[in-house]
Amino acid sequence: MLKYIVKRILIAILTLWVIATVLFGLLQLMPGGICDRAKLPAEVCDNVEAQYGLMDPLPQQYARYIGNLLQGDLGTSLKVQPSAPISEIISSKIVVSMSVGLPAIILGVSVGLFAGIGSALKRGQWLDNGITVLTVLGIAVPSYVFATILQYVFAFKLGLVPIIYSASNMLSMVLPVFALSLYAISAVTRYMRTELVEVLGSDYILLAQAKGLKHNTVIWKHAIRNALIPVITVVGPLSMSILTGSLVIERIFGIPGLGNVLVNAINSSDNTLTLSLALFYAALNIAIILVIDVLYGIIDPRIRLGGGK
Amino acid sequence: MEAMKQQYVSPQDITGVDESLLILTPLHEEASEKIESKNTSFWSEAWINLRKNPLAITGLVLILIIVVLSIVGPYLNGGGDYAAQDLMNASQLPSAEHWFGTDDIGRSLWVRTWYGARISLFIAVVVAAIELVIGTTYGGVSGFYGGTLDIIMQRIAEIISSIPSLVLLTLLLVVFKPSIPTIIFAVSFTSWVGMSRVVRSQILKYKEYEFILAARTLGASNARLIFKHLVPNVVGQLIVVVSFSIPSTIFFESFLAFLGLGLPAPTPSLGILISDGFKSMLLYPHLILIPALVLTILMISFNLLGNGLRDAFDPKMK
Repeated sequence: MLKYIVKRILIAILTLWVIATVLFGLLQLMPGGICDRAKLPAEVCDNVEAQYGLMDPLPQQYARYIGNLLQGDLGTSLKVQPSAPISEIISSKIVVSMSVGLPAIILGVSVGLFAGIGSALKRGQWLDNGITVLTVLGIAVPSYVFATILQYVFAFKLGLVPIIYSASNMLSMVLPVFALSLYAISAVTRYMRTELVEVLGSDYILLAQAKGLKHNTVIWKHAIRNALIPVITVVGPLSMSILTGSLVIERIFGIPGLGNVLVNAINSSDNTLTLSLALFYAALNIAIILVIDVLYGIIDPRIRLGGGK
Repeated sequence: MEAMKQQYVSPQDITGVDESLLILTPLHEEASEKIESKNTSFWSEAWINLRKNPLAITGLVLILIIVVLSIVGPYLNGGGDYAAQDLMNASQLPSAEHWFGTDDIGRSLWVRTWYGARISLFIAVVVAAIELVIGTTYGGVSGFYGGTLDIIMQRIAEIISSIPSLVLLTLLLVVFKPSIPTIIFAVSFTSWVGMSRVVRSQILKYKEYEFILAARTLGASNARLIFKHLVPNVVGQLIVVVSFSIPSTIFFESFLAFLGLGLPAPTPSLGILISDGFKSMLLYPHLILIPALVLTILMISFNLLGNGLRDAFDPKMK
C-alpha cells in the first residue's frame, strides 16, 4: 500500500513540474506586458522590468521561477492587486469560493446519492422516469443559464433572496449554492443509478436473497455499500467542475472569490497572476485525484492489487 | 415418382403407428432453410433500436429543426444580415416585424440567434471532426502498440487532462486571442483526450480477438490492422462520444463568451448572445431568454440523442 501511495505521489509531482514548465512557456507567449498602457518613458519601463527580473535570460528566469515555486512563492500580482503576493490573494479568496463550493459539493453528493438509490430501486416506474428527465436537464443545461433564471425568478421577480452575494447574509448563498450543485446532483444521481442497477443484477445479491436475508438488509448492507465504491471516483472530477464552474457563477452573483480574480486577471492581462492561478487549479485537481485514488485503493483492494487500472 | 417417394417419411420408421392415421406431406427443405426476416446490418439494427426510443427521436428531430433554421432562418425575417443596425427600432420586444425583437442597437435577434446557432454548431462540428481524427489515431496507436509507448502517451494525455479544461481553454485564448479558428484549436486541444481513452480501451479489448490474429497471419500491416480491422469495431462508441462532444463544445464556447473570451463583435454565437443579454437581463429578459432557450433545447436534444445512440449501439448498457 505504501509503495502504491509513494508511486502516485511521485507521478503527481512529475505532472505538476511539467505543467509548471508549460505554463512558464505560455507566459513568454502571452501578449501584454507590465508596461503597456502605462505612459512611461522607455528607461522607466526597463527599470521596472529589471526590478522584476524580466530582463534576465530565460533559463535564469525559469530557474528562479521553479526555485520560488518550491518555496511556495507564486510571485506577486502586477495589476489586479499591485505587488500583493499571489499566495496571499489565493488563500484569502479561496475561503470565499469554498464557502459556496463546499456546500454545493455536499448538497450535490448527498441529494444525488438518494435520488440515484430511489431511481434504481424503482426502476421503470414513474419515480425513476421523473428523476431521469430531471438529470438529463441538470446535465444538459449549463449552470449559468440555471443561475440567471434562478436569479431572475427568485431574486428579482419574487424577491425571496438577495440578488447579489454578501458575506454577512446567509440567504444570499442559497441561489449560488443551488445553481452550482445542480450538475453535481444530476451526475451523481445518474452514476449511482447505473452502479446500483448493475449491483442488483449481480450474483452475490442473488446469493444474499437466496440465503433468506431480509429485503432491507440485502439492499442496504449488500447492494448499496458495494454500489457506493465506484461513485467515490466521480466526486473528484465533480469537485473540480464545481470549482471551475464557479468562474461564471461568481460573476453572476458578484461573489468576490477565486474565479472572480481569474476573470479580472485575464481581462487586465495580469499574466503572472493568471498563470499562478492556472497552476493552482491544476495542483488542486492533481491533489484531489491523488487523494481519491489513494482512498479508492484503500477501500477496494482489487485496484491496488490489480496494478492500477 | 420414385424420387418423390424417398422424400416421404417411411411409415416403417415410426413403429407401432397405423399408417392410416398419418397424413403424409412432402419435405420442403428449401423452404425451411430460408431466412424469412431481412438480414439486418450493423447500421440498420442500430437505427431500428434508435427508432424505438421516442426521446432520442425527439432529440434528433429538434436538432434537425435547429440545423435547418440556422441555415435558412436568418433570411426568413429581418434580412439575413446579423450586423445590420436599425437604431430607430432598438430594444424592441418580439413583434410581427421582428419575430424575436431587437437588441440595444437595433439588430434583429431572430437573425442573430439563428446565425449564432450556425456558428456555435459549426465550431462544435469541426471540433468533433478534429477530435475524431486525433483521438482515434492517438488512442489507436497507444492501445495497439502498448508497452513503453503506451505508458508515455498515456502520461502525456494525463498531464493535459489534469489541468482543468476550462482553465486551459482560458489560457489558450488569452494567448491566441478569440476568433473562430483559435476557439476551435483551443477546445480540440483539450477534448481529444476523452475520445482517445475510449478508443484505447476498446482497442485493448479487441486486439486479443481471433479475427485480429487471423488478419495478422494473412500478413496485414499494423496500420491496416488498426484502421481496417480495429477502428470499424469501435465506430458505434465513437458516434456516441461525438454526440456528447458536440454539446460540450457548444457549452465551452458559451462559457468562454460569458467570461469575455468570446468571438469579437459583431459576430454572434449563442454564447455571445447570452452573455450580451445578461447585461440587460432585468430590462429586456427576452434578449437572454431566447438564445438561452435555443442553447438549452440544443443541449438537451444532443444529450437525449446521445443516450439513445448509446443504447442503440450497445443494448447491454440499457
